[in-house]
Amino acid sequence: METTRRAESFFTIMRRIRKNKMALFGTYIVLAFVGIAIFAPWISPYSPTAQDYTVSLQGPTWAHPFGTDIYGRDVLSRVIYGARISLGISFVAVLVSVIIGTILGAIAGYFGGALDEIIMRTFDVFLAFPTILLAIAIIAILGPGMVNIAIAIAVYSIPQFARVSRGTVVSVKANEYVEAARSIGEGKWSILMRYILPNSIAPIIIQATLRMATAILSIAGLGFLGLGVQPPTPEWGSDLSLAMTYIQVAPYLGIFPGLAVFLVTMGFNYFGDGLNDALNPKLKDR
Amino acid sequence: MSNFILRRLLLLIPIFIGVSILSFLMMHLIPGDPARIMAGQDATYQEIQSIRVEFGLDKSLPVQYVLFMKGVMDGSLKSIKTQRPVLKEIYPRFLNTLELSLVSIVISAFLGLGFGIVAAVKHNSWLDNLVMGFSLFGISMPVFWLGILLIIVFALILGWLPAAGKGGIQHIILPSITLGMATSAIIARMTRASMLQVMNQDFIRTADAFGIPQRKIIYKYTLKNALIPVVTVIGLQFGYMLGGAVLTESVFGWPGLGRFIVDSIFARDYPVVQVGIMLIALTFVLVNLLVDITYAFLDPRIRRR
Repeated sequence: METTRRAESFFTIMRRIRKNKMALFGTYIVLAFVGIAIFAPWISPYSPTAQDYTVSLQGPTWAHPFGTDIYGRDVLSRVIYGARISLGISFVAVLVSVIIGTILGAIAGYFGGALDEIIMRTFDVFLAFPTILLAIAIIAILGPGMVNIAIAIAVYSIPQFARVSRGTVVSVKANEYVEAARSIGEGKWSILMRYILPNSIAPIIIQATLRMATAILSIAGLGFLGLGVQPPTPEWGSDLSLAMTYIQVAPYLGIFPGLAVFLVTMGFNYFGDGLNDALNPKLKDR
Repeated sequence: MSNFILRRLLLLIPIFIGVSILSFLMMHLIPGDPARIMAGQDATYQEIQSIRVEFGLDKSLPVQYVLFMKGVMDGSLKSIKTQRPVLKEIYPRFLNTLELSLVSIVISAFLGLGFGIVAAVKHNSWLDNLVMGFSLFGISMPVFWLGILLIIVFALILGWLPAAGKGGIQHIILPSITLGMATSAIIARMTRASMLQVMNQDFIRTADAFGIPQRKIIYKYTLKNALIPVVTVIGLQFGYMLGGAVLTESVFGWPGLGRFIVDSIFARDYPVVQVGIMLIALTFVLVNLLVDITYAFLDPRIRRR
């Protein structure tokens, strides 16, 4: 019974997304970049870190469609490999935030009382910092590096997921089936895990999709400030910051890494928006 | 109303304390000995000791926190690099960030409201789709990339505007558009959603039935009611701008607080980093409070909660 109902709703959602052109567009962009990230070694024409000073700062040519940077590295290859860094870090950071944030928020919303106060007031303090600033502060403490960037993103994302999950759990908790489970003597934890969390998942998935977009912007932003992934690792943000140095002589360097950040972010935003419409069809016009 | 404001002000106190504690703890969360980190790599034992004494690092944490806050206020907390009081260093940069954010929020409020109203009035038309498409576009646009593109077009190719620095009006145009792009998109979305919601309400249908002209219905009755949540969003966005301006400041070499904090991280000038971050966060919280109060002022229903 349960599985058929879920499977059906999954297909309903997929059908709604297919009907939504924007959402479909976003899905394709995201899938394309996931493909690029996975198959980077096979599709990139050069090594992203191979230097060749004989072709330093060349505009787009057949041999180097996106041109070359000051070290003669192939920009196309760097953009392709950049997808791995960007999608990899953001996926890990968002996944960790979803798990920790959802559980803490659910505990706060379900048990209420002092526990709720302690958890949510602590998160309020974190939410008092603008996100990019909190990320900068974390990097100032831990230093740059991929793991630390993921931590920085998680630190500001966890409170956001906790808020969403707490709100949803509080409203799901009021349902009759939760009352029914309680009346037949189910334990609190088992009710939370078996009935409340599975029914609170939709808003969290939407939030996670939109947070992927924010995470990708943060990674590139930190990279641009010099606080992100350090060179020579190919990362879109730090490549753009290098491009700024040579913008007078080679403005084309400032185009493609930024375009990549923009496209992936837009993909996740369109996809998340479409998912939102598909999961809450009634809210479409709000 | 004054009761409401008082309650919100009281709620602010724990957040203020939390933010200041977190900013204070930053230094101690860095792996290793804070005195050694601040003194730099090739510092002598004497130099490290003198920093330890100067910053009270030999005392207990609560004492250090009190000393830190006292130092911020009375100016005894100094920048390691310039040896001037941290607040004195930060203040002019903070004003620069404020200036940029103010210009940006005004531009994006105009653009956002305009586009949002058009989209709502022409609901489901190509114009509406265009505005909605543009708004997702604006939200997805990385600010630093937008800045680079604007520099390439308006400074390098056309040569109309300067690429960097601070000076006359022409210097603030590109940075404020860059900083305001995403915000105008968000305001447009919010305005549209809010307008549509109000348009579906009974009193608008009644006004329509009475034969009141469309223009008057839209601009007088709908807009007035729809603006309340939009004002909130504008306020919140202004708060975000203060912190988010760091990227724009970086692209355009705008001497703001965000960029100063990042430079100070590289210079290991931690007092500046701590106080700078604290100041932005506190302003952010304060702006949010003002937004809440304005909201309650505009919508009497909120006050009763």
